[in-house]
Amino acid sequence: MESPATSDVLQVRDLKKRFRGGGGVDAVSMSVRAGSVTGFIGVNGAGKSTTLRCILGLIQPDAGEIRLFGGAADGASRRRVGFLPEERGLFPRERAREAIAFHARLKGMAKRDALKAADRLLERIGLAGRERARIEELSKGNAQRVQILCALAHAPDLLILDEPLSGLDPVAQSEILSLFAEFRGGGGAILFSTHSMSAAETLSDRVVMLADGRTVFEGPLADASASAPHGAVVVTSDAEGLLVAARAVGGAIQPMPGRIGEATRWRVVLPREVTHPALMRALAEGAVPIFAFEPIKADLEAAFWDLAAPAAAAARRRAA
Amino acid sequence: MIGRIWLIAGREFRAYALTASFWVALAIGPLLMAAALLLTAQGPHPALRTASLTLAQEGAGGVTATFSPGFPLSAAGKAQLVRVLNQDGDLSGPVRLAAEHPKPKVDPDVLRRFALLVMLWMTLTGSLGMLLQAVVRERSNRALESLLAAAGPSDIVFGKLLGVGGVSLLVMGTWLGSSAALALIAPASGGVVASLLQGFARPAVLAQAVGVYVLAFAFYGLTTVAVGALARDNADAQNLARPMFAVLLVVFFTAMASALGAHGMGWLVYLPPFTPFILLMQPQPAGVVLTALALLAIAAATAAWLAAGVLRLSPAPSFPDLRPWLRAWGRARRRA
Repeated sequence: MESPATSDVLQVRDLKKRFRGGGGVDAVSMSVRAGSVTGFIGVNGAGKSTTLRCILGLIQPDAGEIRLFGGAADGASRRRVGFLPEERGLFPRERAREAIAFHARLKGMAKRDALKAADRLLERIGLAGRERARIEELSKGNAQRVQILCALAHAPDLLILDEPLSGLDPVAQSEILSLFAEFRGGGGAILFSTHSMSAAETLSDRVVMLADGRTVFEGPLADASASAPHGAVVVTSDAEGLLVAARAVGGAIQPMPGRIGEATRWRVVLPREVTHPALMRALAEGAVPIFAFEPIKADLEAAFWDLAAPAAAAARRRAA
Repeated sequence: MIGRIWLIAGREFRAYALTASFWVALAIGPLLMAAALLLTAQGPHPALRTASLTLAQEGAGGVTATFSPGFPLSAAGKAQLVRVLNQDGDLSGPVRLAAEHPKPKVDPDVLRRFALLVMLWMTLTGSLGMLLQAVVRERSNRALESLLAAAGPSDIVFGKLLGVGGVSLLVMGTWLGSSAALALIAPASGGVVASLLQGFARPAVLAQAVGVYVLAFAFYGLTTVAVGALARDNADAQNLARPMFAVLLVVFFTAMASALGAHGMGWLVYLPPFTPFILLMQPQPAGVVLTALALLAIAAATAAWLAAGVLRLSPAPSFPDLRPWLRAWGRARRRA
């Protein structure tokens, strides 16, 4: 875990929030640097939305500290934040231009500036001729774009996005990604939550991983990928033979969910210096029957499985 | 905060007022009133009335003459007619004029109060329905979170109250204003509707009606926002609001009974749901009015606090979720 930097626009320390009936977060710490795009990764129920809602003041944390732009998170500092909730929705009877300007004005923008910003943003995403259209008259994708513009219109310094690309077609995704790139180019910071590793790898330069309500990794994307384990996924019916072969090359095995007939999936973690052919040789020498052998790519997904999966599995066991 | 409240209020007002259907519905009331005025108006010469004289044989050989109410003769004329009957009538005995029962008189002030009560009650229930929808809409459209991220729950509560309240006052103002305008152009002896409307031409009556309406809307409006905040969807909202509308119905009939002079209802003025309507139907001493208004203000503030607290909870809370919150409220009250 990294120490806070002076350029952090957001700092969260030891955040705790528990709900009746379970769920919440226990120890979340993270930071977002100015001009960075931070991916907030975790499986469903890991506590991403709870953390974001605490940051935005939508719910009160039980413990912990949240600092925005170097000061306490209060009404004034939160007005410098744009937010796109996971649950999207706008007033269907409202016109696109008015909806964007309304959200900008709620954040303190003057009426004339808010309308200008709405016009500029609508033109930017190719909806220039539809500013008078009611939300209910727009396609689902266009309505989602308008909602994203509602978060952007008041020119925030930090954009918090909860699953920003869900429900968007590839064309809309690419338009929105270019909007985010433009926002970042202007010095804005983005914190976005996702459970899509590919989205996180495409968008972010820093990542925060959450598992079972705790931060399990925070740092540059490259560091996360570098920490990914080296190894392979092996499907075999001879678990004992696999264990002997893995130990012979200095590795270890972990069970993975999903059986294929009598065979089981295993993850074999190898030391960096041990190559895949070396493991295959050891398996062949032990006459271990192999149904499938898939080298693990050292990417964000592998890093996530390595860091977050044990905690998530422990949580599931506790719940069971 | 004030700016955000007005912004939300303006949005709510436009959502309802900037539709053609709203203006059509708004015009219907005054038009109906004008039509009723025309239909019940009397011309310069009263229409021919049916009147009768009944002669009834009495046991002792005399005859009693009874004139029907509204018989077009003065008392002297009637006495004259009895004399003619005694002199020239072929009757079995002397004719005696029966005692006339006084015609029951309807107090025009009571009529005006009734009319005001109906007007206020109808506008209030319609507006509360709009307010309930305005609150539930945010949750069911899933727009509440983005709104809460930009504005506080109190901003949303008061913004919605003011926005829908503005629409409601526009409706009420149209009713009262058109009543006053019709009263000014209708002749005083122009029929039952005209005589009813005469009361609306007095500025004091209009001011009292608006004042009572604002009080009623503030209390019931804030209660409605609290109920709407508890609801997860429209069906939930309808179910939760039903007891409140039942209370409103009880209040309506109680206020009517109170206007008719039913005894033992004075104390109801201290119960916030009854306060505005009892004040309208039964004039009270200043001390009573002030105490009742203070209690109403406390109840409205409690409803506002509850509404803002519940609105913040997402998803909408179930009753067990509210238990610790209500306990905290109890503790705060005990401390106070």
